[in-house]
Amino acid sequence: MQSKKLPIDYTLVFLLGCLFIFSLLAIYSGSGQYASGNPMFFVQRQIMWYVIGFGVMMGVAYLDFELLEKWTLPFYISGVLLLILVRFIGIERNGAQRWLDLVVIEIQPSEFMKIFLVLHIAALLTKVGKYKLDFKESIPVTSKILLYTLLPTYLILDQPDLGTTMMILFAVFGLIFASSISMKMVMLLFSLGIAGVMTLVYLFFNNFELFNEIIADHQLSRIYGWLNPAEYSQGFGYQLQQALLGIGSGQLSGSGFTAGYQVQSGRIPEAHTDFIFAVIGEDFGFVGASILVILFFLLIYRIITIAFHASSLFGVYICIGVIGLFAFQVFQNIGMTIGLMPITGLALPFVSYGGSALLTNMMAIGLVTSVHLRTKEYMFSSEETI
Amino acid sequence: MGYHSMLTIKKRVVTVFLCVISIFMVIMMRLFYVQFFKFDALEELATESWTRNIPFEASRGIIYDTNNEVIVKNVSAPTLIIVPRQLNDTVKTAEKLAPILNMNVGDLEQYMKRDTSMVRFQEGRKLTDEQAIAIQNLNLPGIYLAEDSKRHYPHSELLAHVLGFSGIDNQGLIGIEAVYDERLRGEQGHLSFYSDAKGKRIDHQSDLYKPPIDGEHLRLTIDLDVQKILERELDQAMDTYQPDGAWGLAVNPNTGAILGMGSRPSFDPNHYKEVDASIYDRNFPIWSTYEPGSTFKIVTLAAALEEQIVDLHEDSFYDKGSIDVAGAKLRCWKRGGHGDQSYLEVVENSCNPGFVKLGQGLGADELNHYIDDFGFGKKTGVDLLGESTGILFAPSQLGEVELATTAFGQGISVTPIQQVMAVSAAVNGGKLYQPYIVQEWLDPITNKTIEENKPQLKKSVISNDTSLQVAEALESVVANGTGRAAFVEGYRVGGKTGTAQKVGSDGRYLENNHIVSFIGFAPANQPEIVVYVAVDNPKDTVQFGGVVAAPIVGRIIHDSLQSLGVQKQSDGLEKDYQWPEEPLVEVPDFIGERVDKLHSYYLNLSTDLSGEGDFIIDQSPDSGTKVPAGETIRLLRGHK
Repeated sequence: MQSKKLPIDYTLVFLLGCLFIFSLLAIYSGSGQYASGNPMFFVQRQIMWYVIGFGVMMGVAYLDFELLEKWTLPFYISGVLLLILVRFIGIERNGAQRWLDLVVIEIQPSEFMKIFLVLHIAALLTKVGKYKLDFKESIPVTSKILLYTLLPTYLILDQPDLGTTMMILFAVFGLIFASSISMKMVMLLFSLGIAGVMTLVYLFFNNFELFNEIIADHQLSRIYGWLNPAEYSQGFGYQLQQALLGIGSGQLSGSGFTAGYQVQSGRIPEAHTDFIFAVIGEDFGFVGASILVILFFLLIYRIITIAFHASSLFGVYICIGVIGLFAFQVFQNIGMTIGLMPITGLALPFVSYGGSALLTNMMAIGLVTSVHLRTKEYMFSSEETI
Repeated sequence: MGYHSMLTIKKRVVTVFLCVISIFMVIMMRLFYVQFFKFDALEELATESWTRNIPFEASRGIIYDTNNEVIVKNVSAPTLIIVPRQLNDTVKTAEKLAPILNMNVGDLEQYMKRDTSMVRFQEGRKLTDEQAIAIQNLNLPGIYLAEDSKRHYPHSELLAHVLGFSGIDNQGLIGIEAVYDERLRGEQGHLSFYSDAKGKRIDHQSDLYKPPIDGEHLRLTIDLDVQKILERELDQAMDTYQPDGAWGLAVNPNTGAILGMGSRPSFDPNHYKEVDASIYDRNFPIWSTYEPGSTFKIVTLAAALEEQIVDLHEDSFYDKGSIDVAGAKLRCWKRGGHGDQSYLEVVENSCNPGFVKLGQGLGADELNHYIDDFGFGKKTGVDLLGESTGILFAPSQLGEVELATTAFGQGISVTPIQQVMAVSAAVNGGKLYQPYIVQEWLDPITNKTIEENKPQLKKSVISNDTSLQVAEALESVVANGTGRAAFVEGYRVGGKTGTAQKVGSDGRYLENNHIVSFIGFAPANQPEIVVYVAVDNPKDTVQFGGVVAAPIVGRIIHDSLQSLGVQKQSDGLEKDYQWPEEPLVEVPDFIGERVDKLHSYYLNLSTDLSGEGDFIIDQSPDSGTKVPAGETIRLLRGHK
């Protein structure tokens, strides 16, 4: 069947098309302050990345994802190696060492790492089967997962990249939650997470030096800026304040394409990448912003449907992991722009300018598509699908 | 078992989905809040932190009178700006500047040490010309003068209650300045140095300078000449009678446009800080409520005429000095009563029992209906702050006694502006207008009209025919009756006195403490102006509207009509007067007449004879002179 039809899911492609349009408009509007000479510079490059990304997506979708199950460990290891490489020869930018210069392009290993990790954990979970485990049975697999997770997250957190770290933790937790691991174990992990945050808060008030070892000053200042944008309006509070002003001034229908005062005057930093949602909020108002949010919702809904009908447990886990990654990115990125979350360097998937992130996200969609395409064979089977 | 476990995972997938839904709900709610509710608060905060903006103040709109005379304007009042980083020697600079700004050196130094790009402070704002020149002469580095302006009221106390005043930030605080603050104020502009995150300047010209948008100019319906006349008379009344207060109002009855409005005691808006709030808060013509007294009889009269209950010339009424209503004895203001009178004379004499009779003829419902139609018991809607509503009897409370007292203006409370608008309607052909004071808004640059206020007809209350009769009767009040003192030669003045009792703190009427008022209009056949004046508790005089207020209104009407260019009516028209007592009597030629014939001929002049003889040989004033009726002519007798 793959030979005749294109390996794509038309619903997903339609949604990607809409996001593509949003992306180009917002990048054009938001990159004005950085573009020197060619105002289409960033737009052209984004189109190029989309074309490449689309190819990657189809390529991944064409492959049978079930074949990947055996290869997840090598992928994982290569991802970790790249991360280690970044530590030594990575390019430092904005105070973080995240990029590898591959002459032609720069890549961001942490982007690929998250997919590899999701795949590997999905494989681990598939191995334990679909039957519910009790607490004791859950211990070995949970420990494994945690070990595999902690190594790359440590490396990423150390770059430093709090956003990606949190995204990975969120996706992993989502996977554990959806798996056959005992609910008691899930609750235990959840409580541990809460306890960890509480400990940090406690340390902040009672032992700041120790706290400072874990959370760097510049990360702390983001949290300050998030909690009180007006008072810390010189640093990260300033970014948030300006972004909020931009979105706020969009009101119902927005200032119009490229007519947003805050963005065009350069008050909103990184408007074509991290703060791209502010461009949409200011130029297209509540109407535009909510259409975009709804698009993301539909995208996730579509993946959920695919997961729901998937016949392979591995496929279900892949979908859940991808949902975890997307949902966190969308929530974190939009959330920081509208003051719900502290500022981190997470881009808005499919919309923000940027090659590595787009490729990874396209890869993820490719995986989901592959899961979907290989579900159809069992459509009329009498067996329960999961 | 397998089925059960598969269901578990499905359930968990659904739970994940529910989590995703709630995440999106949170985003949407927050987005909605930010885009629709939070923006204002954010903007304020942001503006404060934009230290790179140099503000350019908008110029506040100028206020003109209806003839383009400036009533309120702006004068230059520069503001001092310190740029701390450019100061050479903080101490020396502070020492030189401090005496000019009347502040101590230490405080000034504190300002100079602030770690911002620009410092502006209270003492350095709205400087006088002398201060500005002195600072300029010092020629200190880091010290700048920024153009700013200050509100100036060149006529000081004139129209003060109406205009109100503006504070130090050129923000309207009270009066017209506050009501229309937004339009008068305009919008502040600024010069901004925008830079991107890398400190690079951005080449968006439109973003660099946002010019201030000046406030719109305002033209009032006020006629400064009429206003000056009105206030001159109020001042004079204050001098003459030492009253507790006095106020007046002049309106064009054909449009509802307010020509003049004044209150005493008054204040100077240039120095509003030195004035007690109880003085500038109270714009008496719209704020005060009290018993209208006899002026209210005009409403009863108009209603009775409209309902054809009475014929002023044919019907008559006998006033024995009081009238019994439901067991209560309501007295006429004149002891002993007016005796037998036509209803026209009832009006001329302002006879209370006569009006009670009219009120009874109308009945409670009818009278209430007209009172409501004439606009009492509710705000007139004039575009000023602080208007009162007044108090009427509720229909359920309106018993026979209340009906009777209402008919001659007691027991209820109304505002002056309600009375003026009602009387305007009674004499202008029956049309009740909404009073207004804003004539038009002008573009500050082109001076072209942006928006014009048109007269607003609220309701036709009585017929044109009735209105003519009311005007005629009121003209007769001035010609023959209690309003005689308001008579003006050459203009046909109509009007009605009012003497209102004041209620003391114990709820009883005060003794010898009245608000005496008069409401007049002219020309009676085609009214151009309605003037109301009230004097609160005048001293050393009979407290009667006809004595105190009527002559004031007469003078205001005369001078105002002259200023408005209303032609005096010719002698020919004067002959149309139906009354034997002409406003002015021409002194006849007495010389040569026999003394014993004098009494029978000239009833309207009294004579003072001196000397001896049967004939008149000299007279003063000379023949042909016009004198008021009843004037004494001195005659010298002699032998022919």
